[in-house]
Amino acid sequence: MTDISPPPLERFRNYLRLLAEIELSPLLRVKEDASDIVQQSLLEAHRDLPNYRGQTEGELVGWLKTILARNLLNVARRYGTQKCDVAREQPLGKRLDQSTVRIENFLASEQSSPSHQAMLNEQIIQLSEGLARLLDGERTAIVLKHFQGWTLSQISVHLGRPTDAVAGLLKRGLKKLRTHLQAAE
Amino acid sequence: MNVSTCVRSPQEQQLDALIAKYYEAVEQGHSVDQADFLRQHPEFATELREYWMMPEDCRQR
Repeated sequence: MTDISPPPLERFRNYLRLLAEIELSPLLRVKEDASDIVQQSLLEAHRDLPNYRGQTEGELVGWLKTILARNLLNVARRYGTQKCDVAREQPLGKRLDQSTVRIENFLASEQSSPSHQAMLNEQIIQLSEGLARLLDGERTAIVLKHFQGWTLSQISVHLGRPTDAVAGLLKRGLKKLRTHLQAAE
Repeated sequence: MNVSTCVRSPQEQQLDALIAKYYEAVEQGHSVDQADFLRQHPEFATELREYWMMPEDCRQR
């Protein structure tokens, strides 16, 4: 086996943030910033990196998601919401995998060969970076609409803005996201 | 939350209202044909077509 240095964990920050935003309920999101949970998770990952034995990027992403899931669960427990929010129906790790599938579905890719999966990981990272560059309202509207399946009315109530304004957020956000992804090609 | 705000032109506001109208009809379970919707709003046909293509454009790279 060749001796390769571990990939920089920073590369996955926005990907983890997107997963955390999808998993945090709106009520919990007001109390806890997804960025803070991701920061804590990356600190722990850096601390434990010397003992990490994975070799592929897929294994690394899986390991990071496990750490993120543990911290999301801790947040849910702290606010006593584990029965109704973050950890409600099934193990959080499994739900994070399902959130990943929702992101993959947005990218409309099919999982097949390892090389294809690596390409998909790269696309998800680019998508996450593009979303991180959007204004808060634009990002929230896209995450709720496209990754959580909320209706326009639900988003409207959540953001406290009329439905046509939410449509505008979606339109401008998607346009910026498209520009970012095309530039990343 | 730092919610984004921006000044929208009257034309943009009309387009946003049409997009909202389309979503709401679909979400209420109405069968909305995009071609019919475009025919009803020819003044925004190009913009609506572009909007509907955006998720697809994000995929096809």
